[in-house]
Amino acid sequence: MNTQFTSRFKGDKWIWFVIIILSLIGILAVYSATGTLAYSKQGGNTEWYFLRHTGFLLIGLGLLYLTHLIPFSYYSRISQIFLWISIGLLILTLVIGSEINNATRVIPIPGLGITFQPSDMAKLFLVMYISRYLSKNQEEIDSPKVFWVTLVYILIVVGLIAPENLSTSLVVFLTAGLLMFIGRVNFKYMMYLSLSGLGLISLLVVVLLNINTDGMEGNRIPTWKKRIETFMGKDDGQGNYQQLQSKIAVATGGVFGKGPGNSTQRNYLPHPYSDFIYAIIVEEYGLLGGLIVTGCFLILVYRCLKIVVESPRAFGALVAMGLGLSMSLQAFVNMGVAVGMLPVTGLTIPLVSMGGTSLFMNSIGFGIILGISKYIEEEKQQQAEALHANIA
Amino acid sequence: MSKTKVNSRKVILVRAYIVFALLFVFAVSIIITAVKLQLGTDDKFRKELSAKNTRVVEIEALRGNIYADDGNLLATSVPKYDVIFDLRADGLTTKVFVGKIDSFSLMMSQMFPERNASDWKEHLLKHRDKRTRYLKIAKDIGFEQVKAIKTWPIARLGKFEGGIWYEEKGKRMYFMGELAKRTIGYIKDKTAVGLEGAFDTMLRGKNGSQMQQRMSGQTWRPIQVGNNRSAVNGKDIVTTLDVRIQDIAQYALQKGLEAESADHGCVIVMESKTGAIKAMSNLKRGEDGQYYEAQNYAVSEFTEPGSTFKLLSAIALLEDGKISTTDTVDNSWGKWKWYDMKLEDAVKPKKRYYTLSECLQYSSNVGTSKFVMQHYKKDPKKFTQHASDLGLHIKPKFDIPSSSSPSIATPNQSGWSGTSLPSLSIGYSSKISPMQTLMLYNTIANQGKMMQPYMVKEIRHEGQTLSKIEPQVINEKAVSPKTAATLTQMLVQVVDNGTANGIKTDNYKIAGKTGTAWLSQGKSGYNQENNRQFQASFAGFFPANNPQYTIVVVVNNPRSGRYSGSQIAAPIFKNISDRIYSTHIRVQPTPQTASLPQVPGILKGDAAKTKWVLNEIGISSQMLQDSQTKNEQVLFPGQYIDPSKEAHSVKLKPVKIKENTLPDLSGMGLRDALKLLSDLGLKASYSGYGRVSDQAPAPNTKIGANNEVVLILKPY
Repeated sequence: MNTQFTSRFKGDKWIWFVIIILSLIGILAVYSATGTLAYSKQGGNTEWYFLRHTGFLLIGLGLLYLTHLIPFSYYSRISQIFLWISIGLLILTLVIGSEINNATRVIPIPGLGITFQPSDMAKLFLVMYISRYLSKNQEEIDSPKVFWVTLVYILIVVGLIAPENLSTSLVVFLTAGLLMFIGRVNFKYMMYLSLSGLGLISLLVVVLLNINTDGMEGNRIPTWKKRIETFMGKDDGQGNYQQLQSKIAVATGGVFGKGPGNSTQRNYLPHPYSDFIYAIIVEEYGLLGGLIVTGCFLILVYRCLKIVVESPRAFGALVAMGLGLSMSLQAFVNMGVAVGMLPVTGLTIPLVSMGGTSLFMNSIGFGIILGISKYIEEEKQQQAEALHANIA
Repeated sequence: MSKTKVNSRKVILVRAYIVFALLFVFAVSIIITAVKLQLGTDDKFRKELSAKNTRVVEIEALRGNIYADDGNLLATSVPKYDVIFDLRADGLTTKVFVGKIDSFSLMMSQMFPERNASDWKEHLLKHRDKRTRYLKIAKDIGFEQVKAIKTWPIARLGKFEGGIWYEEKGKRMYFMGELAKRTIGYIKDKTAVGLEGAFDTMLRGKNGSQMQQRMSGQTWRPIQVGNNRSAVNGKDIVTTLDVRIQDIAQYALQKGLEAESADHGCVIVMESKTGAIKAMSNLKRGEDGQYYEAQNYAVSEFTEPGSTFKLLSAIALLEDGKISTTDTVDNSWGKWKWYDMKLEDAVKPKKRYYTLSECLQYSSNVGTSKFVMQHYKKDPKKFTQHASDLGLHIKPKFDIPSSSSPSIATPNQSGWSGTSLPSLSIGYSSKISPMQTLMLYNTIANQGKMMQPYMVKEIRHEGQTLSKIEPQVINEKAVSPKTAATLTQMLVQVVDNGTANGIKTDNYKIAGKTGTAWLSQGKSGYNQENNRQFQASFAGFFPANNPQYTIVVVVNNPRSGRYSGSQIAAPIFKNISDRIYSTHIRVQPTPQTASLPQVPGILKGDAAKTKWVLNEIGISSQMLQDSQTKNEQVLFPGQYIDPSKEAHSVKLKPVKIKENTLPDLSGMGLRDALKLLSDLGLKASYSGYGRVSDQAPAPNTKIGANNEVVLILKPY
């Protein structure tokens, strides 16, 4: 990488690389996957979604660039207030949100034709706030108070997301839990938490499978029930359609795929440009394409791990790791759905899937990670210079 | 750095590595699952996948039409639509559904008043709660109605956003009601009878097949694969049936049967020269005392014909030159016993010796059988040979097949006895169908030439004539012209001075023969004193000097106390022949010889078709604006015309059709009237033929729940 680039784009080069690769694959996959949507919504103008996605991505990358310039310590201060704003917006969503796929997840932004998904924002600031709280309380990290305070914040956010977006709330809960674990919260408490978490999920599944959802059509419960039942092998009357189509896409991709734009399953999969984008990627670019995308997110987490290793401050390490985990977990759940490991969810792959505000929020997340690594680089440089100065 | 700090860093790192390791395992298992999917996707899985995602849909071929000889439609398949409501369509949000359900229900109640608006709403809400994805909300509606529904709230959003879509299907429509219903046939529970059955393979066409692939959920899209077949629509058949003669014949038969409370009966009208069947009617008394087309007796009921069969005896005697027209026979005053068989004449003879003509004239059993016995007793085979020569012993070939067969007693059969010949000579000991009797009489009418009866004269496919069926001669000289001429004279005598003189008319000569047969009732035989059953028949042709039509009338088991062919069947014949004579024979239309196109008489009907016809013959036409309609909502503007006042200036005046108001249908053809009523969503029943003369409810009546319209048709 040339010096021009390195001087302007500071931070972990690997993470920059991951961002570029994911963006490019995302543009290609979205272009291919939006064909059906373009016909039904935009009168066959197949470029419409391609251009829109690329436009959003460019705005997102702009935000990413700007974010990575901001000194990360700044976030520590704003995280608390922004977490409360996010919580307010989540409540607002539950009250006024508009329906997308029968799920109230978003707030429409008047005039722009786009919608705002407060859960993305809440996720970001929850990670920051937990990192801040844990890093501030490293001295008394074993105390039950730290555990409970953190857990209450997590449960407020997760509880507000859950009614309309169970899968996102579960990923947020998992991310936050892992973050607590990494942040040295008492291992015993963590064990209790993970056990009760597992117990709760099992209970949820058992309850969902056994309740009668008639008359519950105003909310998401029937959808959850159906998806779990489908995953457990019950025919949903459409031949477990979504998962089956996704499996076909993966199964027919081969090692090198059918080639860009040659997906056939995009016509049969609902939301092939977001929820099932991994299936389209494997179908068109083969196992190789799938491996690259999966690898990118592993690299991301690994580089975040590097930041943890190198970060002189716990806050930076926890924020980077938390954001990296949050995005990777979300991506892996999306992939797990595509290959049939997990029941159908509405989770997207950060930077790859089409989407408006979630793209921006993920870009900001990447920006923050890069900002932290930039800070670490600068710190190292200063240390090195100081060392040089000392030697000299 | 303090020791604790170093330790805490270490703990963070170790835990972070553990988390990374977990994530790594997750990522690897995703890839492994993907690889397994690719490797493990054997043919069975692939097949299972493709079975769930592709299907072969049969594309129904449109069944061919059946036409009358003048091109009038007897039966046709018209596209009809069912309206399906997918109450859980992906795009149908609660907001839209709840917001528009009231207005949608109101529209539904107006077009389908079997439910009022609130009932419709309740019905739809219930099914939305039940998550019904396939609710048929209307059946068999026409294209006009589909077009209207597509503008309604919810429905206008289309299949995906609104959930409302339309299933097309071919619906068989018959335009003649009970008229020739059995002859034209119908399809019920997959079995077709009448012409529908006989020409089923032709009419049916060939269904196509199309491979479809699942798009999402219940949405399928057609895909192009090699074995897609497009449907080949059925062939049309043009019959020889004359709607007016059919109506005349059926009406006359019905009246005749009603008067006698007979069990059943049939009439066949044949064009003498060609063998074309112009009418065929079969009626059976239902349990309600009304008569319905049920079985095709004309073709498939084989019974002992009785006296009409004496014609065969006469043919044999004359053709073999056994007797001359002046030879006589001793009628024993009408009573004769031969072995155990007692023969008796229905008409007590006024003289002792009968000529052959007189035997027929008075339908003398004794005379006829004595004549035959005198000449064929020694060689009965020679007599039965005549029946075989005329093809009476085998089932006649005909467009509508019959399952049973005739039987003619012959000397080499085991049941043959000394009484067989005299019995056969007067129409017993053998069973033939009304169609065979008709063929026999028509041979005489046709100067000895036996014609093949037929009912289908043309096969068409998509407007092109595939084949034309020409009249076929079975036997050019089945009977010699001389004998035929002699017998024609004798049959005229039957009507002029004999048993059928009740139907004698000065307008034209009828040649024919009555028949009264005891019905054999299985093992109990004929002679059940209190429960004798008869079959009254009459077969003949007219005008005798130049026969145009040959008719057979058979009435089975009359219960009025009367039973003879002359009392029961002959009047039916006369009813038919009189009307045919006045409509088809006496009035010979002279063709117009105008060089400039003549403006034809235009009747009320379909505007587009009228304009097309006028255009075809070189007359331009224009639609008048109706000043009165400005402030009223007019349905189907300009689709129907009422030219009654403007016919000759060729300005077409639109028929005003207001919403919820019954238009004036008078003067319309049945097809136009039915189509208009169907467009309005109304049911119709009708009687008679021709054009609409009366309607109930009266024109301009508001139509609401009482949505049945009765039409009375009369010839114009």
